[in-house]
Amino acid sequence: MLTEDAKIQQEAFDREYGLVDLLPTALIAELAEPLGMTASLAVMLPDGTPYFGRIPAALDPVHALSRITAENEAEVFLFATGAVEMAICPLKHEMELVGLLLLQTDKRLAMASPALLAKCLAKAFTRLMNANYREKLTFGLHARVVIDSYEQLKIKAAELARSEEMYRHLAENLEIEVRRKSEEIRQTQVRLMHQEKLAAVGQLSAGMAHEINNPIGFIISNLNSLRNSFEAMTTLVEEYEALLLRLGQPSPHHEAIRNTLKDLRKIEDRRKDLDIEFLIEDGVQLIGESLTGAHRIQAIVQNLRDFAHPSIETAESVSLNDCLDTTLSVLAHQVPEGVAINRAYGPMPAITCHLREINQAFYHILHNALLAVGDQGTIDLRTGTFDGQAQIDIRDNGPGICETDINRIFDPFFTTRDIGQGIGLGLHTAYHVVKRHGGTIDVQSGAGQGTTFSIRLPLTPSKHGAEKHDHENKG
Amino acid sequence: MAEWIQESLKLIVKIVYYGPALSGKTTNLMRLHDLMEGRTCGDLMTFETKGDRTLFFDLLPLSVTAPNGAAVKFKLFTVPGQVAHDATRKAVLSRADGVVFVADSRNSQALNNFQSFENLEKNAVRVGLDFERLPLVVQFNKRDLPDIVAEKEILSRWAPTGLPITFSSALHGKGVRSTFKRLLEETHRHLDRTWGLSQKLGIEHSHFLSAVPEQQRDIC
Repeated sequence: MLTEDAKIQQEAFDREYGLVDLLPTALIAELAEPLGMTASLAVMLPDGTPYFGRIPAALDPVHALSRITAENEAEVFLFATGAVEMAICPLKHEMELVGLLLLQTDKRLAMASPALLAKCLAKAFTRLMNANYREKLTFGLHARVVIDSYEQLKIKAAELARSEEMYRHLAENLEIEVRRKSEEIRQTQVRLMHQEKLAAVGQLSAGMAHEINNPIGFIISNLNSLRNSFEAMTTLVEEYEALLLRLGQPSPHHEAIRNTLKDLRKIEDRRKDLDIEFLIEDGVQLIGESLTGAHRIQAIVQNLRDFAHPSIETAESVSLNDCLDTTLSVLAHQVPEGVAINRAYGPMPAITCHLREINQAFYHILHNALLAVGDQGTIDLRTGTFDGQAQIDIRDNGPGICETDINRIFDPFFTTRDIGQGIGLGLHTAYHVVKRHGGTIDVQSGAGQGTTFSIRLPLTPSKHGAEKHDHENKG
Repeated sequence: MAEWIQESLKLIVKIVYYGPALSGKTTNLMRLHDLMEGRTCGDLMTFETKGDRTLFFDLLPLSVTAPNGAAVKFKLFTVPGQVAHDATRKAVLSRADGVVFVADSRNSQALNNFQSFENLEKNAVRVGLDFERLPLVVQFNKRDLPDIVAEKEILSRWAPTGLPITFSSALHGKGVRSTFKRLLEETHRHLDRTWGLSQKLGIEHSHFLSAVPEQQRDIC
């Protein structure tokens, strides 16, 4: 195999191939080599142009060609000049004459008939040409297919790289975007929780004002009455003093005593009019009531402090029963007359927790219960210890929570109330408070069955929860 | 794209038999080869693998000479029908002057026919052929088999394409000749319009058709 044969054709494989392609001169030389001096081989193109070897001067190419064209089907033609014999064979490829094989022999060198030899060679050449043709066609086609496939692969690779780049870019941006959005949501949540707190404090303040106004009202009214009563008593005392003064002055006795008696009778009359015994009695009662009112004010203020005092951030030992009572007293103004609150408190050891937060959690759950029952209903509070945990059940006989909502009630911003009535952070806050304390909060409800919130808190605080809480406070 | 070789007064026309796997493309060429007389037809070159699957292509050269001495050489190629050989199919299709689309008439092959035709359209565009103007004949082969789509249905289904439809049973040599004749007519018309075959080269419609074997030999 010659190196030039192995060159892969990259141009169109289906092009026309000539003698140069199919029967390279080097290949002819290789095949002719064994003939040595016994014969000389030449090939010329159909138009008479020499292609390989020496064309004998004696041969008239035009004459030879005309004979071959006339006798197209013939396989060999013989020409003889003196001692030299020459055989000419047409070389055909795809029905076309592509060349002429010329074989010269010297009669004096005894050898096989040049015609047979030439025919033999021509056949071999034709076969060779066919083989080469096949090879070139397939090589060419294969090269085209490989190049094409490679191009396709390159395009695919580029597309993949592009799409990979796009996705990478997208992923990077997505992460940044998600982080940004998360931060935005977190900030909104913090802001809303703060607002909810402020709203709770505001509502609380309004409740407090209402609570304080009642005792203050009757204290003021009582004090006014007391002032009028004591003005009258002052007049009485003044008149007694004047009488005493007159009795002490020198005067004609009869006349003076008579006058004194007259005055004393007048005073007695007035005293009867005033009912001094009642005044004294009433005064004591008024003062007593005022004191009661003042104590109530004191108690309310104390409750407010316990509930929402901003300075209480550290964990302390408290009784959850007291917490419930404190929270209920804060909500007292929101309890309609038709709503009964039944307390079934069991023994409850003091546990260590953040009082303000626990109160807030109770506040939100009790507030929800009150809203659920409306004007008429019952709220049952049951406390006790169970399996090493404090358990508080807050049950209302309101309309209950429907199945589709029950899984979402602890989600932030989930609310079934009208816009402006609540933003849906109450139960979310309660849930997080209980969770932070290492406890659980469960709800059992169904449409028309009322709702029971069960809060369980560990009797001994979990280390992790406390630490986490401290950390959050610092942040 | 047909090629005119001035030195040897030779026109090279490339015809491609396209279609789904095992629809009878190679059989078409084999029967044409059988119908031809040796003078106008060279050897059929095939590259077949196991189970008569064409690996690269088949090639049948035909040659006719016009009275003015100009030779017309038709190179009839088939493509490998198997889906996997798409790159080969594309390479063989390139520079085609006319296409015979060999479809399998059996009901079960409708989808394969459709996909192959779509593939032809796609590859024609990829190799730069104007598919709208490409001389194209659709041959519904294997008419001798049972469970085939009725001629009427095929004709009505293909009517909107405006393409010439032929029916054949290549295995029995039926319809092979008429399909080829129909394609030569289409191809000459197209080349005459774009190249001026009759005017400039003196190659007439009848010269093209002289490559078609004799009528009586078609009936076996």
